[in-house]
Amino acid sequence: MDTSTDALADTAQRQKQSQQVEAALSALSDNQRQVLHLAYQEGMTQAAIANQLGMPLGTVKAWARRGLIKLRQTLQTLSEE
Amino acid sequence: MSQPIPPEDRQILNAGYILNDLSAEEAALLASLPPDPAADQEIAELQRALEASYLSEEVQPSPQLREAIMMAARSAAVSQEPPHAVADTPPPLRLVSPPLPRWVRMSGAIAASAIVALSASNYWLWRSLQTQQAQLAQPTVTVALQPTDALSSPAQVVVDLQPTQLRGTLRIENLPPLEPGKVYVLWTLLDPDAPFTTDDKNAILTHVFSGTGQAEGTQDLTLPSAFQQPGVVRAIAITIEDASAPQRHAAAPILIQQL
Repeated sequence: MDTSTDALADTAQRQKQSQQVEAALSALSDNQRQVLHLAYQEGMTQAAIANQLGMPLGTVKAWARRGLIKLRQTLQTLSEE
Repeated sequence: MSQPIPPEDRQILNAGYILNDLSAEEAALLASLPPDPAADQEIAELQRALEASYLSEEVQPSPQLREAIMMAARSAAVSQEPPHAVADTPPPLRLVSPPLPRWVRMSGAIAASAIVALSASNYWLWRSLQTQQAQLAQPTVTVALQPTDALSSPAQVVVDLQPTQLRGTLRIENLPPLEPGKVYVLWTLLDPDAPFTTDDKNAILTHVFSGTGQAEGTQDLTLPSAFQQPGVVRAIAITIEDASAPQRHAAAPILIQQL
């Protein structure tokens, strides 16, 4: 396989992974997606997220943890298809 | 070591471990659990899921750009980022999601350093140009000293003055040879009220020179700062003084020119 073929295969693989991530994120509840987004896209701490959403810190933790577990399960399922 | 906990609880703890938001009790509980390869596998998968979903994929620069960046980085003093502050809530949320790839931030630092260096260089060149133009704008003042009755030979002494630079040139022709132990002294004569330190004849010793034969030639001068104050310098004169103490200013001028 030459370099250009490798590059094409690599691009296709990345595109597939991107689609899987998009699908996995879509499978999250709104709360889970929002908490993870604020933490990892906006760089907020969970305490700050709890303050912004007006929710207890324990609830934010639970949403984040269950959201991460859901992400992992969905990505695993999609990769096995 | 405590007993195993239900898989769902273990899963929650594992997620909290990856998110780094375990409480002290949860962390102690997790640490006390017996080794579980399946749980270790799940932790690794949770980490991969988090990275795949939220870590931006780094774009590598071209080899040429990478080499240029690395060379610049080696020579530039790029300050280190301060360590993350300890907070009540776990900071790793930020650690796993850098806002920009490292090479982009490094490129930004290099570009900023280059801008500062070029700005300083331009300013320095501008200042040099301004200084040179100012110096060129100042004409050289040429003063021909006139012989007094104390000088019998047809000597010619001309002084080229550059007051802004406090530099000058002494051009000598046909000064008579000096007796042994004597020297010629060039004096700057000031106004009596001038705020400069002078001798009792209001003079500043400016230059000492000698000639074993007929004294001729050109000599560079360093002028006293009084030349930079208008109206302070009254005259330039040359006397013949003892070589051992030319500062005594004991003799009368053989050449002088009022300014």
